[in-house]
Amino acid sequence: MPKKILLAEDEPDILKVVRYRLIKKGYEVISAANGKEAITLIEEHMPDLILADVKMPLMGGIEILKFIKENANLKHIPILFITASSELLKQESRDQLLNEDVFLKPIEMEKLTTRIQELLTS
Amino acid sequence: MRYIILSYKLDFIIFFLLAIGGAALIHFSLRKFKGMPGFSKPAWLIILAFSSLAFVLSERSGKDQSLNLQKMIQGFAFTYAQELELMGHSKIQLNTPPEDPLYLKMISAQIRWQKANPLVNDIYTFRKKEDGAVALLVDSETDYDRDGKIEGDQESRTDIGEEYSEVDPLLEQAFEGLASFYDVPVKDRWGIWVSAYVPMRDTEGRVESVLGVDYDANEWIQSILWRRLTLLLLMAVVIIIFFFSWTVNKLQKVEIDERKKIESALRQSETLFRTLASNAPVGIYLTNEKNQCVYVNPKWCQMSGLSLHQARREGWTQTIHPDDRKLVLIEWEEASLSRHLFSSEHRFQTPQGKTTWISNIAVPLLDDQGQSKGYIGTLTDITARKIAELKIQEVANFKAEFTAVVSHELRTPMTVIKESIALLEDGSTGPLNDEQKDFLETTKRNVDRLTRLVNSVLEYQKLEAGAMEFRMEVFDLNQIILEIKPDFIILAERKKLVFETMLETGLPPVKIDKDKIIQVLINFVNNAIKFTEKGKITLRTQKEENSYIRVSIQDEGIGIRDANMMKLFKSFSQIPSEDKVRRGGTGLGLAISKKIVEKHRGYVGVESVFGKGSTFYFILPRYIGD
Repeated sequence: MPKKILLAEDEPDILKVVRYRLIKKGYEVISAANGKEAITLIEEHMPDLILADVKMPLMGGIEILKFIKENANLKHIPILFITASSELLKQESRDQLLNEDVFLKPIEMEKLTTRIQELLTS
Repeated sequence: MRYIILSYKLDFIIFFLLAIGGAALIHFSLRKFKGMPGFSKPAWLIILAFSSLAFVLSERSGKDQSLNLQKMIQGFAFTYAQELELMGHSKIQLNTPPEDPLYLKMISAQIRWQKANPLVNDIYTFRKKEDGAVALLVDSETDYDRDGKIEGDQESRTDIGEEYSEVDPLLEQAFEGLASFYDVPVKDRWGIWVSAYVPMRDTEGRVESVLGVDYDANEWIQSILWRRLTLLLLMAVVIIIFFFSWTVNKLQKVEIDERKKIESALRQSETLFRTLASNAPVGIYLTNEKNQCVYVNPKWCQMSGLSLHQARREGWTQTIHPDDRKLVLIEWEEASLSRHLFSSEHRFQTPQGKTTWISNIAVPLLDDQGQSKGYIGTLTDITARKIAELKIQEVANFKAEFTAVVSHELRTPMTVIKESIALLEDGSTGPLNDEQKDFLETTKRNVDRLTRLVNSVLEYQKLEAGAMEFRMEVFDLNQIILEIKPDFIILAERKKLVFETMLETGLPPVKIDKDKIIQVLINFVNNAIKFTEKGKITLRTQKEENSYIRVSIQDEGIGIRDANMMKLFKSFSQIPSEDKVRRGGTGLGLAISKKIVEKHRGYVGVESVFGKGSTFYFILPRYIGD
């Protein structure tokens, strides 16, 4: 049974290449084009890990984080972020996150997949 | 005593000493208490002249008095001599008995005269004996003490023919026929006298006797002394009046001079103030302790569009732009309550609706007790500057926003390209031939370069905007260098270069952001390697003067032409390559390094000899405690 990753990314091309890479690594990938869609899919599919862009229309990555942390069933799910600018992370959320959980574009795919593997095997 | 005074002119000497002493006293008092120069030379000469005059006049009046007395006494003497001659004095002989009626008649006449003329103390006649001795002839009893009684040996009648021993030259002169007056007091058994001698002649005109009239020497001297003293007193009054008027005059003159000086200074400062206020290129205003405007200069009126009359009291506030008024009045209130400097930049709106930006600065005027007497303020039109500032700010904001947006927007396509290449390259999408692999490699290298450029631009932008965070901690620079030295050796070996360090021991600690300083070191060392074909790279640390530490990276590369030195640390400036080989830099490395070092309160520099190599260095202040 492959591990499920929810990938929330509004940029279709990024979604495409990251998704392709993750599938190649043997994960099941559920794609969402924004935060709203992601939340619906999270409750539906109960992914093992969430990978979300910080800045998306309707709802961003930080809102997804808040949503799962407030939900007892979901708060155990690890979440990783993709961002074009570390400044987009507000101070409060930056304090909650580990440096290694935020991936600045252009994403270093090697590091990302290593981190995903770490989180999913532990 | 009186005689001593007179003969040594002690009266004058005392007078003179008092005059000079008084003058000296006034002189030094003026100098000490009024700060004035005291008596001038002419004033001293006038005092001396007055004194000399006093001397001459007192002498003269003394002499006058003496002469008057002499004339008077002599006059008496002549009268008495004549009377006695007529009575037949020549008939009296040395052996005439005391009961002789003629003799007694003469005696009673003498007594009568003496009674009638209290100035005359004694009247007597002398005759020269055969042997030349002088004997007294007719000398009545005399009431010397004027008590109406004849008592004692001294006042009793002198015997006829009693020899007189106190003969003086003037008496001798009288025997020779010359009336004389002896004004030197002579002491005999009856007292101290000054005497007048008059020759008495017989019917044939021969000098048969001498009549003497005595005058009390004390009275004589006293009379002269009084005359002198009266005169000296008069002169003293004159000198006192002179001192007084001179001093008053001087004091008045000083006062007048001072007043004149003050008036002239006032006039000058008034003119100066008027010139300043009317011509100054800034608005000037004055307020009183109630914050009411009391004065504005013409420029102020021009700037505000109000007249002085309109600006008075609270009138000035209406010219402040409505949007700024509340804040300015609060600032003004705060400043005046604490008696501090008032400084504000705000807008003016003239009644005609024209808006200008004003720099308004006012300082409190304090009295001796530190109480505010109001403010004096200046207004400068800074409209042009404000507009320029706004433009600069706009441009800076646009630049920052532009770089941020562009850089961020570049990141997404770069991710996609990079990942697509990676997917192709690792064979996920199927096998590739060598040529395809080569082109993919080239593409990948250039995407990496683009990534570096975007990162550098963002970093530089952040440094420039002051938005970069620095985590400052205390480190030993040598320790940091030793930590990364192996990486540098590897980098150098790739180009077959030698990398070595020369670290000064006992280097003081520095407070730095370790990662950022390492970034600078890497930048400098990378540059050194990039521009050196063979030889060695030397990294040195040294203690500088004034508690600074110098870190330098010396290479044996191509060096830099002097003309290019200035461009080195500027952003996006890559100096023209000497060997026509593109080095592939971003043009931001040194500019970023410079900013990082400057954030550490240090500075960067370079020394280079073209063709021989360059030494890039940065200097950091040592850590001396927080």
